[in-house]
Amino acid sequence: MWRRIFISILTFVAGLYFFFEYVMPRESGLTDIMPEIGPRVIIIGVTAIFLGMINLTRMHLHKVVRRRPGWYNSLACIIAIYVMFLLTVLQYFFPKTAWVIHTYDTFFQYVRIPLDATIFSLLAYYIASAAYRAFRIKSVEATVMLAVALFVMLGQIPMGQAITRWLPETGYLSWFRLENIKLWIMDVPNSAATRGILFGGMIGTLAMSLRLWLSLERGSFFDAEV
Amino acid sequence: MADQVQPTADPPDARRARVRTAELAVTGVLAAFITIYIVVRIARADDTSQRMLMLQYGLAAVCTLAIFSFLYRENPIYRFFEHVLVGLATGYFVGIEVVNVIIPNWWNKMVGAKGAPAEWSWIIFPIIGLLWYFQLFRNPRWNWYSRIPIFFFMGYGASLAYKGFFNLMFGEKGQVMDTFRAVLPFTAVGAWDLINNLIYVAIALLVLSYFFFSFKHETNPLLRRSAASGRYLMMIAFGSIFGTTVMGRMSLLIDRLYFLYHTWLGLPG
Amino acid sequence: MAANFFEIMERLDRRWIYLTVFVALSIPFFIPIPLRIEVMPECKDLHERIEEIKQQNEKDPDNAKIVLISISWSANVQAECWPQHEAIAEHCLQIGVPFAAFSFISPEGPQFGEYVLDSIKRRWEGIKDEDFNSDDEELREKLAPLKRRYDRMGKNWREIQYGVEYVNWGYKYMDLAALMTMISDLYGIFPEDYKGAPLQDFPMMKQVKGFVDCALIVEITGSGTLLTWVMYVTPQSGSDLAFACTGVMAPEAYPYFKSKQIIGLLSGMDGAAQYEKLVGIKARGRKGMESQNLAHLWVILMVILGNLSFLYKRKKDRDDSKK
Repeated sequence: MWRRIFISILTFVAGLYFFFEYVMPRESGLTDIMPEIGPRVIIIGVTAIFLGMINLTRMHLHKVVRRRPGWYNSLACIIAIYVMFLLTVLQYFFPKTAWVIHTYDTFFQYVRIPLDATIFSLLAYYIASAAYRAFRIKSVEATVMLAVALFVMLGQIPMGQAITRWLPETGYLSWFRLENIKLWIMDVPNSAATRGILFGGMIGTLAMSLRLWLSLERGSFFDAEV
Repeated sequence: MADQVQPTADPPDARRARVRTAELAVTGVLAAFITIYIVVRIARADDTSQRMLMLQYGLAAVCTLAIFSFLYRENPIYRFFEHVLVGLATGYFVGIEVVNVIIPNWWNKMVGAKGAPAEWSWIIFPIIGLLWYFQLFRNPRWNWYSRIPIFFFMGYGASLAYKGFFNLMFGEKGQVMDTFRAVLPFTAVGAWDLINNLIYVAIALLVLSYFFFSFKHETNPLLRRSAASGRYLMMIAFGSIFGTTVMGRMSLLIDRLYFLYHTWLGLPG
Repeated sequence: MAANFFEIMERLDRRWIYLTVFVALSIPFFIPIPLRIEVMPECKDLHERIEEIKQQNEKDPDNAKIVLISISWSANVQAECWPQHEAIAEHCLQIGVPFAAFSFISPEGPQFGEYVLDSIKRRWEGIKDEDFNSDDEELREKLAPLKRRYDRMGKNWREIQYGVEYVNWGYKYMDLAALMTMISDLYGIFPEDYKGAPLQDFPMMKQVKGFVDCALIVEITGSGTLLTWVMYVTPQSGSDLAFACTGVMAPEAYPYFKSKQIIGLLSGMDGAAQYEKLVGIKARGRKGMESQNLAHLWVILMVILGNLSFLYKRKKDRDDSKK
């Protein structure tokens, strides 16, 4: 029980500075001590950085030692972690040593970047497949969404814009050029609807923040006996 | 949907064996072709740095194609490279935090490197930070200590939300201010602008009414209608997001094709 | 006939769809498609703001401001953010507005900042000094924006002077407290640049105390970092903010563009291509737009086919149930 009280007090006290920094007048000097706080908070946060590495190593080492299916992949993962870690540190300390820079560059620019970029590029295939299989006019909502999406798609590619290029560039008729229709959709209805969603969401966030700050939040993580 | 239509039962053994052989054969031919191409490019390069570059391009191409192989189906080559990526990303992340944050922002300050006076009091911050590592203990008795930094960050993050909220909504250019400033006739430039502003405010309010849960939507006819129209209007936002998402996702693939065709295969760009 | 077609399409293995995507996007790499890019106001505003900063700096050189590029992108969104970054950096280099790059969310950011500059330098290597005064009017017109750099710097125009034109601050793990600290006190958080050299010693950093001295902050991102700036930094620092983001996030940024919380907006590859047009280059953005054309038309075709198939199936189900 005392632990929970301690945590509640800690959470509350941790938030006091920024709360008062905002509500108090500038003369209070609270804003001026910000440069003393920021650099120190960074250090507390960054200390946690090895946690992920340790956890990942522990998990994969377990697989390797127990010879679980796919253990060789886990071994590759562990080797990759430490090789890349070492290379990153070495390239900082030895920026003029050719082999360090070459090896670092090979692993970073020619292995890590292509792998990362390619994994995300798979999404292009999936969205194409989804366009065919999932984007269907099953209701009025879906139809509105589809119509807007089509205008936006046509308005943002040169071939789509070419359809209405015969319209004049200025004057009332120019409003009907596809790129201008797209701009209007984005600027007015989309922007207004997004703002409505934002208002709803931000009020929720504010309420949630208050609950967290005052330790009123409930749920498995917050209620767990400590 | 068609995935459900596809037969889920395994094909007969003989057919499966044939498919497997064909897959292995195609993989083998592709691998041989790629290897020969890389070797030829390296051999034809002018100097050592070019040869190194060709090797690096080859490596990048192999990585790209290995990930693309997932589109055919999940396979050991893909899984291997996926693990390598997780490893490299983690190693790089931790490495860069050490050299870009821990050394200049903590160590150098503490020991007074580069002529600055040493500030040994800085030793205290990583010690507080070490409490994070109690996460590694399963025993709640020890694990508990890791909650100290977690809730410290949660507390200050939560209180910061107020500052952010008021800046965002009610600041000089805040969202709320901007929404309602727009309906004042003298802020509009011409009739079209005024109409747009009115449409804007109406849509924003109708969408907001969808999130208004203080009254039951079913029993209040006004709220029911406005919430329903808010739902339709939100679809405009989602439709726009879909439209631009198509561009975003396709860009990701175009980037990889750009690498394969221009950089690796050397097509003129 | 139609019945057969839709039934086959419904049963079609999705891998065939993947293959057609691959083919459709590959065609423009073999057969280039001439394009006319329309520049939208969101993009023009950003371009004009950077030009304005140049004029202000010329008028008041003792109080020269910089442009800050926040690299919140990484390999996974490089397709969209790289060309945006390249176009904006090229613009600053062309007209001589000093700019800095840093990252508070993506550890790879500063490294990418360097790669982007390398790519600009590689492109410049293909341009000869004579080309600026060539007899070919078309070529001269194409190089007009870059000629401003050539006129200013002469023969050495290809060299990017580190510390004078551009500085890479590096990456820091950053929470909001640190980011807010940087509004007035940059060097408490970034004592060194990304290679470990003291940041304050660089000529272009002499007048820079923090975000307050950045006339414009350009957030290039694939993550939800916009609110961080709008909520915690720019109201206090008074800097203008521009947002260059992936296509997915662009619609969500329009309310801030309307309220002038952001003064410019580049949306994905399209935004990058527009900016490239303004600064007179044809790099990854404009080249990519050729494939985008076919990709979009192809997706639209898929949506139409999917819906026809859906309507056909619904009609068939209704007919069957009537029977």
